[in-house]
Amino acid sequence: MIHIEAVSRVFGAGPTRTVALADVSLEIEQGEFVAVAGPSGSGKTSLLNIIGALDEPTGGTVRIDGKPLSGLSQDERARVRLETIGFVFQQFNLIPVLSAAENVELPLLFRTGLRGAERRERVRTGLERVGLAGKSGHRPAELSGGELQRVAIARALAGRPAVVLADEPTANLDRETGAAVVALMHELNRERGTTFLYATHDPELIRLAGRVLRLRDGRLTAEGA
Amino acid sequence: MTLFLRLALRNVFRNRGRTTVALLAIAAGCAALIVNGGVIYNIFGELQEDAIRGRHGHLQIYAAGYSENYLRDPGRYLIGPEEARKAIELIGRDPQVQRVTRRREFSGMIASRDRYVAFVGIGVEPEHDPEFSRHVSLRQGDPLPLDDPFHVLCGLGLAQRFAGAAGDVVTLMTNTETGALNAIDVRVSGVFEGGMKAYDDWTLKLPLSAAEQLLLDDRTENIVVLLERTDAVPQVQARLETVFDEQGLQLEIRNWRDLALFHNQTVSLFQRELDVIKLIVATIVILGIANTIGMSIVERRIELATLRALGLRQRAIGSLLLTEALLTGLIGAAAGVALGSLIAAVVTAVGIPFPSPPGSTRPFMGGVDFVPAIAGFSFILSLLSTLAAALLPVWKATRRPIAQTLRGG
Repeated sequence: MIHIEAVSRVFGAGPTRTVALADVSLEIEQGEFVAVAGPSGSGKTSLLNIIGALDEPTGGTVRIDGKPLSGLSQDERARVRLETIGFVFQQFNLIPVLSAAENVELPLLFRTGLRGAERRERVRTGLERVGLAGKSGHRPAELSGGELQRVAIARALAGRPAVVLADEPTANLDRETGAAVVALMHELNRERGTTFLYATHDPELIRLAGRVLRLRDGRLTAEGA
Repeated sequence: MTLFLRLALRNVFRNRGRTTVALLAIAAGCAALIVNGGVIYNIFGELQEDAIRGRHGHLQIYAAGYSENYLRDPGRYLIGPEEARKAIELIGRDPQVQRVTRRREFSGMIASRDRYVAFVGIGVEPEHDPEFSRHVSLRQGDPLPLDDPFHVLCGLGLAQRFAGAAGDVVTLMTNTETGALNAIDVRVSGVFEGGMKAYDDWTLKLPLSAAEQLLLDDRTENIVVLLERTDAVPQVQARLETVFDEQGLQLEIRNWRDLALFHNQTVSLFQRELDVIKLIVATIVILGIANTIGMSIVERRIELATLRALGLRQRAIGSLLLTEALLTGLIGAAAGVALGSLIAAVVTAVGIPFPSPPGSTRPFMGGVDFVPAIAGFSFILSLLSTLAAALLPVWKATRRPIAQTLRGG
């Protein structure tokens, strides 16, 4: 499903040159629940950004469902993100002036062929699934950290993506809430067969993963269940 | 309302303090244009009425070829008595016509005691002339009497030049068409101020019958027409041209705009000044709010990067930000029109004491006209200035690298 071959990402040049990823190759199958583990600065976020078509590698190739991401225009990359990938961010990144339901609905506005009634139904079921049916009209400022991340998960899944990328999704949550959020992601992974990749350095959360990719200094050092 | 529009509208008001400053800048610029334009149009109105009611009327009718050839051969381009009578009858049938009168201009000398002063004489019909002289003030004496043709009204400057006053008896001298010198004695009935210094320094009005006796000629130089409404001038002019053609009258018609050269030059000058003010206001609005819009976009850079990460194209982000600028411009410009119309109403009610306009001798109490065309233009200019102010920040925002911005860069 996700095929990465010899991917590298280098920032800057000369004395400020930083290698974020070096010669990373891996395959992720549909429906996997994968943790990307490693200390800060190990390249976790860079790897997710490249898989999520948010950034381009300095070298190597990335394919999602057999389609290469390299050489795509900005609009084509936006389309890949809209239709294939869902994102969950460390800071939740909800739009503060929109309600929970509106936050979930917003990306769906740009999906072609999705009518209003279907959009609203997806928003309703999505929020219901993450346990926030009663808070659909609440703005982000009126929700707790755990609730914010659950809205973000509902938003990521509303477009029915093949893969959800979550960058440190529990870093701003207490341990208990963080575990609950990862457990919810795991349930959704099992129910829907959606592939999940989440970056974390928390050993407790790493243990919940079906597969773990370990990065250090931009290199894939180990992988396993 | 669609979610997209709701988002744009809520973004406009998410930082109320900053939005208020931006709206005030736009509204103040828009109102300034409306008020400035309103003052200028009020002055235009005053100058226009001066030209129409004080000198030219709405239309003037001459013998065909007068405009081009009068100076070369003045005697040839005058309207005969029968033709003038017929023309006045036809003109009087038009429903828009309020009053018609004949005039005859000539030049001559006034002899008063030991002084000889040149003048420009206008033979007028005393029963009609007051309607064509509403903007002419009598500073001394009485209007021309209806029952005695041997009276004159002198312009204020002309009276000063020969040290004349109401009640004086003076001699008017001129050359007739055959070159002979002719003279009549007249009494100065009054002294007037017409509003234009050059006019007041040279002009003398006398009854047409007296002018005809002095010139030994009963032909008319021009027929002056006053209409009910100034905006009817083009239609009435066209109608009269058709009627004159049909009746075989060899006449030409000139309207007040053709004749009021001073008015036209002044309007042209003020229009240019108005254009410069528009440019200055647009620049101030753009500079004033570009920073505000830029700040708002920079503060929301992570949010905008998030939207792009969720799959919104650069074009969609640009549309969202430009919609926000458009809404800001619409609200600010609408407030500007309301503010401008309020200022116009209040200032007009109070009145602005204006000094004499250029070339005029009379101060006047002016106001601020609310001109819909200027209000519309100011509204659109304010809107476009707001959009122009947003263009560069929006362009930059849509090109910011997503991954780097999400990291807080």
